[in-house]
Amino acid sequence: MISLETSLRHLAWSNQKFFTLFNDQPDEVFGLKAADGEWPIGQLLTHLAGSGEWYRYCLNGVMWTDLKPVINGSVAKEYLGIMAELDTVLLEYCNQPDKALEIEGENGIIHATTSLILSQAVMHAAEHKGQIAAIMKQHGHHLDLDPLDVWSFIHESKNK
Amino acid sequence: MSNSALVTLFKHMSWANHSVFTALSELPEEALTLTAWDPEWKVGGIANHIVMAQPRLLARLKKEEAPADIDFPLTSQGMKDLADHSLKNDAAFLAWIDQPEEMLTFNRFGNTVSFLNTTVVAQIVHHATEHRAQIADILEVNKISTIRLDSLDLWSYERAHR
Repeated sequence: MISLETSLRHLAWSNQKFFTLFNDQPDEVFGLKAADGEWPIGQLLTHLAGSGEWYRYCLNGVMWTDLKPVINGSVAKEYLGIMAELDTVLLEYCNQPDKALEIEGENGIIHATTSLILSQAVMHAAEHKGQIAAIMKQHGHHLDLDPLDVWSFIHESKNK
Repeated sequence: MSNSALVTLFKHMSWANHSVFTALSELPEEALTLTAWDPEWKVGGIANHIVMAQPRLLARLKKEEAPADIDFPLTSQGMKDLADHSLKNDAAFLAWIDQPEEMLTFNRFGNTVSFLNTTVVAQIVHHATEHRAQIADILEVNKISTIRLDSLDLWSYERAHR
């Protein structure tokens, strides 16, 4: 049956591609924002991994860490391994039956399901990648998301 | 049996699409022609792009010819109609995703290609999500903070549907 597996595999692949695009970017790119008061690109990239750590905590209880903020290309490169590890955790759950979760949050117990966490993971990363690409273009940098879409993922997988 | 994570993802997409398009219908009409980096890529045009893709992708899943595109005017009423149309298309997706995996062959940009139906399904959500973020960003650049993406996440969806 059709499942979330393709979406999660695409997520893992596109995260690797996306962070790689930032490995060689000049430092100032990581400070670009959509508008005053909005998060800069570096913070959004850090947030992608932070969210991944939160999903992992929700799913298997492993605590999140103090992530090094992404302020330049070399830190972005370090995130390749972090993202790969976090995305592997999501994939472990994609073919399991849905399950109710009781998550110990800062303000008490949060009730969720594995399906909610996995769906949020897929949607959230795509949204922020769209946002980051828009910020890049707004500031005159080229970042084309079409090579990171699901068609491209499958095309590349077929040719491996 | 439906995959519950996939159903959640599609129900959320339907709700988030409709929320964004409804928000657009409530903005001053000038906002629908705002742009950021590309003068041709207008807020209302991107909304049309999301909704135009829906019947094309659905037709691929159903092995049918894609219907003719409907271009909704960049007016408040146009965005209301687009929001209604999106809701119908998204309901049609939801009724169709409970399928066995299958290879599909269809025309894409003039080429005959083959992809699994799971790929089409994944692309439907990915495409809409990316472009909703673009709409929010272009409005933000133009100092309109109406669409807050944090209030359109899965947690918010779940809270709104308890």
